[in-house]
Amino acid sequence: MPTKQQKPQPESAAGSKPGGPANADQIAHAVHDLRNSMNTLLMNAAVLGAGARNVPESLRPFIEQIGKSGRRCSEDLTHLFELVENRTR
Amino acid sequence: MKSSKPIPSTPRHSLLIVDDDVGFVHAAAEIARQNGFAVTTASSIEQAISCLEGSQFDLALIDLTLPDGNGMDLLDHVDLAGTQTVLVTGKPTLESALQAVRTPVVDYLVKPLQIERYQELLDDAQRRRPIVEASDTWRDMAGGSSLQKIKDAIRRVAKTDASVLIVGESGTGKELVARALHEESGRTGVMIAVNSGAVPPDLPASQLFGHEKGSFTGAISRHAGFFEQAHGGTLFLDEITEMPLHLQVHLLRALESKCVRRVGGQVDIPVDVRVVSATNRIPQQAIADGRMREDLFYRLSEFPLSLPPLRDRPEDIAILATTFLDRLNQRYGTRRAFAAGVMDRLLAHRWPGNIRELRNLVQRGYIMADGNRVDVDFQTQRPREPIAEDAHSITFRVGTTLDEIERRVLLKTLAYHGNNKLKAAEVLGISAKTIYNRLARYGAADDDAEIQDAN
Repeated sequence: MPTKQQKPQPESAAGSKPGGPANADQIAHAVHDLRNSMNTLLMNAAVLGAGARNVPESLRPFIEQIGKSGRRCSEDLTHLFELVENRTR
Repeated sequence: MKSSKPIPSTPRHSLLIVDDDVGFVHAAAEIARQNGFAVTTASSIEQAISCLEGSQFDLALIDLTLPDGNGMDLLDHVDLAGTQTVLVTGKPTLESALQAVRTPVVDYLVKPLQIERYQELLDDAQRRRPIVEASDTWRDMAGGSSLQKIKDAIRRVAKTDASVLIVGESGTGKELVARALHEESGRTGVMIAVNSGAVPPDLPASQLFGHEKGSFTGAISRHAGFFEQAHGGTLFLDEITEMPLHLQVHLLRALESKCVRRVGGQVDIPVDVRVVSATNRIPQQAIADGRMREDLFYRLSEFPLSLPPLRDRPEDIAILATTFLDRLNQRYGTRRAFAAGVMDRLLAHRWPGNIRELRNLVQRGYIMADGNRVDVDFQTQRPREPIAEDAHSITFRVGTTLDEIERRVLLKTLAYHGNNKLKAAEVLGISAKTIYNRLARYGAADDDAEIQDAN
């Protein structure tokens, strides 16, 4: 299933020199992609969570874990984004 | 394509999702459906505008970054007085945040969307009154003598079985009148809205009258047509003068006999359907041009209803503008008023887009208001350059990705051929397996709605 426009991978994180510092645009671009991917992941995890009662009981903890981990990732990423955005501003 | 839109008697809440991330859209739609919502999806501004024309939604979730522009552009097309609008972005910038903050009528959320917040939005929308009763616009709206005459005519004819032909320019509210007729009729069935010009040309009889299993290639199950679906209710045939002539013959027969026979069927099925049709052409001219059968015209227009253009009823302009502003104030708890001189400018305008144009202008003025003074700016009312496209053609903007072109061609071809995958594969010169593989990749394998949306 395709997700939001698959963006070309940056040449490195920098886009100019391997190992060099990334510019603000590249970081914003990567953050945008990550937000979209996380968004899709969380929404699909929610669908799985809602349908968990229809899967074998042995699999339910894993589905619950996807939801929990997804939410934690989201919080961590949001914090990271804030740090990155403040730094590149 | 808006080939058919069932409008339930007991309205469900409705959600429009505008986002080009298929993986997100399908999941968000699934959650909304589980919450009882009727969901419509669009992956571009162009598609969304098509969905918003003539339809209203309780909740609209709009991504800001779309392949053909900024989701903010859609605010002109949403009825903000009735639709809770949420702009979503994965690219929060100071500019877009400021724009959104200036617009009290919309929520603004940053991706990743928290599922709890999404659930709150759905719950809030469900707590509000469903807005399917767009005919409230007619019932409750004060107006000059011409508007009163139309309301009076709707009230008188609604309770009868007379077929109604609504004639009026684009934007005069033909579909709203059709809905009002249905709701005032007391009929217990649903209203089915059909765009007569968008019925796939190779399957028209099947679409209208249904088919039996095995009656033609691709008829893998029995299908009830629009007539049967509207049994006990109303069948709204929009753009009736665009209906292919050979189909007009079948339609006339069904109207006269009050029976339909499914394609491949052996028996006539009685149907109790009230037919309302509409056109933005002059029917007599369509007959003279050979686009419409005269006998069908007389059968459909037992009660003709003409909706005059706004420029011919200046007495309604101020009333309508005030009503639209009042609805926004009421909806968002504000006390905004038109700035001095606005009414004079409204009265001087020609209103080629009629009531829809007026509503959009007031809405934009409300959004952009500084303080409580609502001004209007005709310069910003630039209609988007429409990309010429219909059921038979497809157009792309320069810069559209090859993946997107392939996806839209495939979905459009499927829609054109009534979701007949074998036929679509044949005309595209690919195997049916490839079609199934692509649909699985798009996540649209079982989603007829997406295929319908392609038109």
